[in-house]
Amino acid sequence: MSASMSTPAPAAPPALVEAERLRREFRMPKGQDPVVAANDVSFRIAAGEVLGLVGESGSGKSTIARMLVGLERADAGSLRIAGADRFAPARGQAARLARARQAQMVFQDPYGSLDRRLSVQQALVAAMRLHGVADREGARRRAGELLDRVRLTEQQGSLRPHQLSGGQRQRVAIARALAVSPTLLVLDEAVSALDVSVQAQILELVDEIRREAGIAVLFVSHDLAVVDEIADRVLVLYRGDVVEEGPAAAVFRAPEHPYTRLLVSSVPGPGWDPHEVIARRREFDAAR
Amino acid sequence: MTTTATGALLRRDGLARRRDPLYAVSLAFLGLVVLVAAFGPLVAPYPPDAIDFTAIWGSPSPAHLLGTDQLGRDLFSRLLLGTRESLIGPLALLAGATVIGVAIGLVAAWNGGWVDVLLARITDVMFAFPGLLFVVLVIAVFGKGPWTAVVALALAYAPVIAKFTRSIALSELARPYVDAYRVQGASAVHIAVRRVLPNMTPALLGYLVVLFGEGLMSLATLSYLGFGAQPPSSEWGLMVQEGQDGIVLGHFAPTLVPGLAIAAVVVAVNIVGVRLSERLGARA
Ligand SMILES: Nc1ncnc2c1ncn2[C@@H]1O[C@H](COP(=O)(O)OP(=O)(O)OP(=O)(O)O)[C@@H](O)[C@H]1O
Ligand SMILES: [Mg+2]
Repeated sequence: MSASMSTPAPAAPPALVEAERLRREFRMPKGQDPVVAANDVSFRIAAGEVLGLVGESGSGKSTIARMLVGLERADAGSLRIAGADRFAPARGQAARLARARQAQMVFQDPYGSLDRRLSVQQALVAAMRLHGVADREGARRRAGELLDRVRLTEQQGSLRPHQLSGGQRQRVAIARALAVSPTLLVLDEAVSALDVSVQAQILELVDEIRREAGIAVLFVSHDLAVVDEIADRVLVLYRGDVVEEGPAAAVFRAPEHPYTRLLVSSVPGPGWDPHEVIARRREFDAAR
Repeated sequence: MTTTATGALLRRDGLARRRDPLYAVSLAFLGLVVLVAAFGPLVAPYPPDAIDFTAIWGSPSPAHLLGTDQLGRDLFSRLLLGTRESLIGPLALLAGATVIGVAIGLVAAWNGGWVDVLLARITDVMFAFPGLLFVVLVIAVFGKGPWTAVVALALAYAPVIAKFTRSIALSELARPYVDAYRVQGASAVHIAVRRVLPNMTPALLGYLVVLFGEGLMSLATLSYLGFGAQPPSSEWGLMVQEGQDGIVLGHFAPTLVPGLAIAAVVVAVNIVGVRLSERLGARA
């Protein structure tokens, strides 16, 4: 009786991205155990939130990132973005484009991820025209706005990728992703190939985009300092398992899981001893 | 796509002329050959089949610049008029082979898996089957004639192009910009044909130019054997064959003139093709 009287607890605002128990195994050559790149990974990202995904090389970060944009399938689990099932087969142009507008990605390699044949302007216009911006003039105007937004000049817009620096190319990649007006932006090591000052500029840009456009961001990096800088919440991945999750400040300043502690203490700083880091890493692996 | 490739080619031409005289000479010679193919009929002093029994096996003279053949036909005129047919054949065969080969190579590379294996088996079989034997077989079934030869050779050349296309497509498809297009929601056909293929054309182009030389030689060979162009055509391979009778009589010009024309075009095309793939390949 009393149960029916109580008002239901106000539902938490529905998350934009809902990933439930994502699993992915990669078969290895005969005789070797399969690699579990994602082991029941669950997480949520709210609109306008930046979720950091950290972990060492091979921990499964890219696998998860690529699942979110449909480049990698899952063996099990479910993934919804804005309530839409990402794993249901998308047949037909309209379904594919609708999916593209849910999630876009910026890749690690600023040299290979742009089509070398197209100028910046052409790449942006092509993306918009694919997504149904019918008139060329309108697309061109929007391309100008996007260039402005990622702080590239009109003149740089007429250049081709090989004429741009790494940082400029990543801006172009971000602009190209935004051209589609996505609700989620996935950045997989998107600043890892850039030098520190350029990294800072890109981080600032990403932060601005999520604040102004309310876009959710999955920010993948092995660089804890960078993730600490930009992420609201952090997911720590170890060999496909999520070992810790929480607000960035808590995870990095008061890590609970031994692996997170190991990661945090492995960051080079004053009194940093590579031998000690390697020794502790070995101890940790042996203990698992 | 072609405009950027040709544009780059032309822009580099200034450099080429200074640093690479062989390439420049070959290019100029091929330009001349194309002009002859286009305007030869306007320049030729005689009709190609103008028989003159008073001038059989004639030596070069002001009236007949390169001499005459066994029927007293003017060799210079026949050479000029045969240029078009001698070039259009290989061009058509290359176009056909390219369409088939590039389609097979792209589909194989894009799909991978069993599609790739199946197509590889098919092309391997086509590959292993002696080209000339295959061509003769096709001609035996469909009857001899210039177009049968072109179609048969197009089928014989397709697997080579398919193999080459597949290998460059594999490395092209591994580039992350292809993933970026997928994420953008572009269809497989759109990505493969409109985005990836144009990025492959520089590498393909040089290869196809070299193949053109081979195609010209193969077609001339078929005509020489009597399977290709038929009299009274003045296709170069046929000219060589018809001129052969003169050799025992000491008249070399009727075989030498078309033979040299074939050789010169093939050599020039090879030089241009190899340089082209070096340049465009280095750029890509
Ligand atoms: N296509 C694949 N085939 C086989 N194994 C794969 C494939 N992709 C990833 N793996 C394996 O899955 C594991 C996770 O790879 P993933 O690329 O997701 O790691 P990562 O955390 O992004 O590493 P990095 O920081 O080096 O980019 C690795 O052990 C990797 O070898
Ligand atoms: Mg990775």
